[in-house]
Amino acid sequence: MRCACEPFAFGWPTRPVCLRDTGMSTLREMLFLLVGAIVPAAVAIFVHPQLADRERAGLRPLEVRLETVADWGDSVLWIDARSPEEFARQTIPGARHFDFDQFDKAIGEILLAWSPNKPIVVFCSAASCTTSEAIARRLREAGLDDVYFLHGGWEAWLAAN
Amino acid sequence: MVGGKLTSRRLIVLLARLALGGVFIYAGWMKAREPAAFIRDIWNFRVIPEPLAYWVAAFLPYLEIVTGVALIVGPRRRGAHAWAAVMLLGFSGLILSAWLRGLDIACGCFGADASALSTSYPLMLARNLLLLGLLAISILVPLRHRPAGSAPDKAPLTPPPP
Repeated sequence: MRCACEPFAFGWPTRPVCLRDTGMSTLREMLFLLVGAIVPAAVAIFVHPQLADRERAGLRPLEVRLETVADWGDSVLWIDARSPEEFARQTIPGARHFDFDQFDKAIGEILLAWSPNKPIVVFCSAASCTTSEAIARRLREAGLDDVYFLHGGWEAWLAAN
Repeated sequence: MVGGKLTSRRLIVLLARLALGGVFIYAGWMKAREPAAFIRDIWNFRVIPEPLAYWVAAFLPYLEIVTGVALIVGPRRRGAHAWAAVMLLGFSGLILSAWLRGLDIACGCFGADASALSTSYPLMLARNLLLLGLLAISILVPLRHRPAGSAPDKAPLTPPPP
């Protein structure tokens, strides 16, 4: 007794299931489910508030991309929130170091270097680093309006330069 | 669902499908609610380009939900089995690769609110292994028990007579 469609099949000889047919029907069903997922996803892209703004999707409230900062020109005040050793080794030209442990002293130094209409962008060592966000929030709470933190941190700047 | 007597074998398969489908629906729903957090979780894996993460975060939660529903309800279950296998193996590969690269990240498997479940790599892999086990039960254990020597459901296919 042989399988009619091909010589190799599951369940042979009592209950033959042709591999070719099984594979094709599985692919068809996968495609059907794929289409079933695309429809609500397409609606969500236009309706969900977190997906509607594609440029900012995934960014936190004070987070900016390097491309956006580049559009602001040379007036940006960069704040390096990495360790003093990393800052001494290499940093963004013109950047000032920020010691989070001595916050009051550090904020005084930032205010001396800052001037109105000059955005402040804080960065730290890695994409997952949260120090830059914490500093940006504290600077906002201290009364500075134009403060952001860099998406991707130092690694993003290094990759682009 | 398949009608007939509820045997222990059938109960195990139905529970496995219910549990697996439920996990997929829950995981998809949690991600679909907070796509921004899911985008950040995808970025943290540093595997796919950032612009692509947006599309993955927009689409994948709904594929999980559709797969979960199909696993429980029944139509297109073979396709749902295949998608579940693809996703579980894919997620396990991503988790393993993040572990090997020493990344200290949350997996984002159940959205942003489930960080307690998403921080230990061995726990994440064990959980995926358990889900793969449920998937194997759903795929491999036949619902109908056929005693030895009984007639098959369909007549065996034979070549047409010459």
